[in-house]
Amino acid sequence: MNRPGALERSSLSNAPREMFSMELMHQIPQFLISGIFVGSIYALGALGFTLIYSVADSLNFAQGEFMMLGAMIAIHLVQVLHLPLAIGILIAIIVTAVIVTGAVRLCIVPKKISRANFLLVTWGMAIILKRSAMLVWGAEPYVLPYFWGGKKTVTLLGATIALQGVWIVGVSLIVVLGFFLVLKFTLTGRAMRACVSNEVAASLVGINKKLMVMKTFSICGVLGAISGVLIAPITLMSFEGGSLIGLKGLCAAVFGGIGNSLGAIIGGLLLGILEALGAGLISSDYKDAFAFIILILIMFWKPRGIVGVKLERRV
Amino acid sequence: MEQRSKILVQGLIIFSVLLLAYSPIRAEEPYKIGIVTSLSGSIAFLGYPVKNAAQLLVEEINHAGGVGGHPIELIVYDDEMDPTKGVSAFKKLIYEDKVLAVLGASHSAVSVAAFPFIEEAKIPNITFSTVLSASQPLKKWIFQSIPTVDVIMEKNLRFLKKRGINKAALIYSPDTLGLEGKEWVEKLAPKIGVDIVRHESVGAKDTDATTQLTRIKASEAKGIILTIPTTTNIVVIKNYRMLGMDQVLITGSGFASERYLKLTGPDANGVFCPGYKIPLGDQLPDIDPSKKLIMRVSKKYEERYKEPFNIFGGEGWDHPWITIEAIRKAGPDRSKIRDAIEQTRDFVGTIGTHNFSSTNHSGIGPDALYIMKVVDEKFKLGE
Repeated sequence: MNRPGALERSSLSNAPREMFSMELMHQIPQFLISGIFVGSIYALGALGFTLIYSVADSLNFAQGEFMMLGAMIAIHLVQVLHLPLAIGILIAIIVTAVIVTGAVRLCIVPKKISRANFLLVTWGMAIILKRSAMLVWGAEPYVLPYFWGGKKTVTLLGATIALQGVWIVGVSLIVVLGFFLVLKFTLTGRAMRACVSNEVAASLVGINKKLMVMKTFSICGVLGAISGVLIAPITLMSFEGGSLIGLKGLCAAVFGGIGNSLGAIIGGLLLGILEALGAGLISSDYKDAFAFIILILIMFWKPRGIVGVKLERRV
Repeated sequence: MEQRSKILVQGLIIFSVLLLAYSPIRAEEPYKIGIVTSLSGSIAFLGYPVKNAAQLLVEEINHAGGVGGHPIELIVYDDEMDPTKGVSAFKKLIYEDKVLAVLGASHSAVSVAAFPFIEEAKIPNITFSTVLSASQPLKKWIFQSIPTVDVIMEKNLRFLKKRGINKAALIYSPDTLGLEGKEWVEKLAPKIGVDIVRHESVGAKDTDATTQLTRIKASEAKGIILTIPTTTNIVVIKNYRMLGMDQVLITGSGFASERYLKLTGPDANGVFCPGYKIPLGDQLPDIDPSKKLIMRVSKKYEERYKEPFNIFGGEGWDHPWITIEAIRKAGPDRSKIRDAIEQTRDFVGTIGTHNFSSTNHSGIGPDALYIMKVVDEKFKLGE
């Protein structure tokens, strides 16, 4: 197990010469796996941001809080009320969607709202959700039990894969596929796409934009709740546990080209992988900085994101 | 209204202490000592045990005749976790109540803000805070006697060394807590003879640490020291299990609560954690000098307050006690009391054995800590 450069190291610096040693090459699969797990969650968050952006033309800052809410409700149902895990999760997703839709009905729909106000209202919604969660559940972190078989691990190419991670990736994949099917083949999906491509024409054919905004938010609530319950068994969830992941989701959305669903997913995965590789190959001290630096560089190179094609938006 | 009820409560506290201290034979003037702690705000849970234990101690001492016939009068003020309010509470104790010594505060920011005023007023102070700047560099009038981060890290490193581990990894968080811990591990590791072969950072809000742990898993490190916020400990422990690692893992002292073991479940089994003496109570070996005292005070405390005696209660007991014993030796003179506190040696308290000297105002060493091991989701003595 001797690495070159390990012998003369006495201080705390990770000697740079080990950076590209063979040892490290063997660790890359593990970094990729970690990146994909985290990236799937970022992708779901990014999808939420992108959806709202497409329909309402503004950002929803409460996306991370939807995630927290879903996870906390599921934890409450499973740990306090002792419901079976699957039922608890299902109820949590529905309740989150209902709360989110209700909040949107109250805060956003009644008024004609400008883009900037929309942003502020969602910001306020995020704060209210966070504080209410603190009042209900306190500041303590909680944990959800592992999903079926989630605690087991398998080894692939020298990388350890936790089955909970497989759950995360698998469920995210199903959710994303389902989402695309809805968008493509249902009336709501078509109306949504119509809203995105031409708002005036959409309203002329009788599509109610406010209703669309509400429907989109409820989809975002579901997306958030699902990603929340997926990660709650491995990480922990507390009232403020959604904020940072929400922010990363926004980054991923911008990364992939905001307004583009496929871009959101690619952006999320890429952000997760870059973070893991940055932390693994360079230094964990700069993990967050590394992801953001890449983000800035990509923004210089492709201001509309990697998959960003949609420039011809209305002014 | 709130202010008024607060004054009323404070008044009642003082009154009740006076009442309890009162005995017809005693006509001597009371010796006053003051405490500033947080009785409201998010850390009120650690302010109340301080106040409760101190009251219990003062009652016991007064019952036994006080200090040379003088009863001890205890004055407790709430700093509301606000440095401004804390400083004015200290000033009130010093200039209006004219106490002989001040104890506190529990909140680091309050304590740090009060240091210059305490130094200026030339009054002895034992702080409840773990902030390192209390005793490093040494301040003439300020004392501290609780396991601080340097003591905890020394304990952890010595524990690894004792298990024959010469190469270890460090996981720290990029915040005050983590960086202080890292600084001390860097300073102490070469002295103790443990080579820190990897150091990784995990942020307080990170939800995944598998990347960092993968690097450690592949390194020569046989032990892992954590100096990260408590909840992050849990994330790391879960990931550590997931990766099937076999390195000896030792957490920070904040992890030593059964509450957190509920969150990790069986994942934490086999993990080590430095712990204070008080919660170990009955589990302490009989040769431990503090054991008898801890058992006695715990019983008394639990009977009175219907809650377990903890480390903060330990501060509320030990720190006023050291002060009162110093008053017994020195008489009612602030400067002489300071000297007497500084000369305190081998003072067996509930937290551990307190030792001050003219070059050291941090009275607690690694012997006040035990390394615990998680067995079947419970903390057991691990040494």
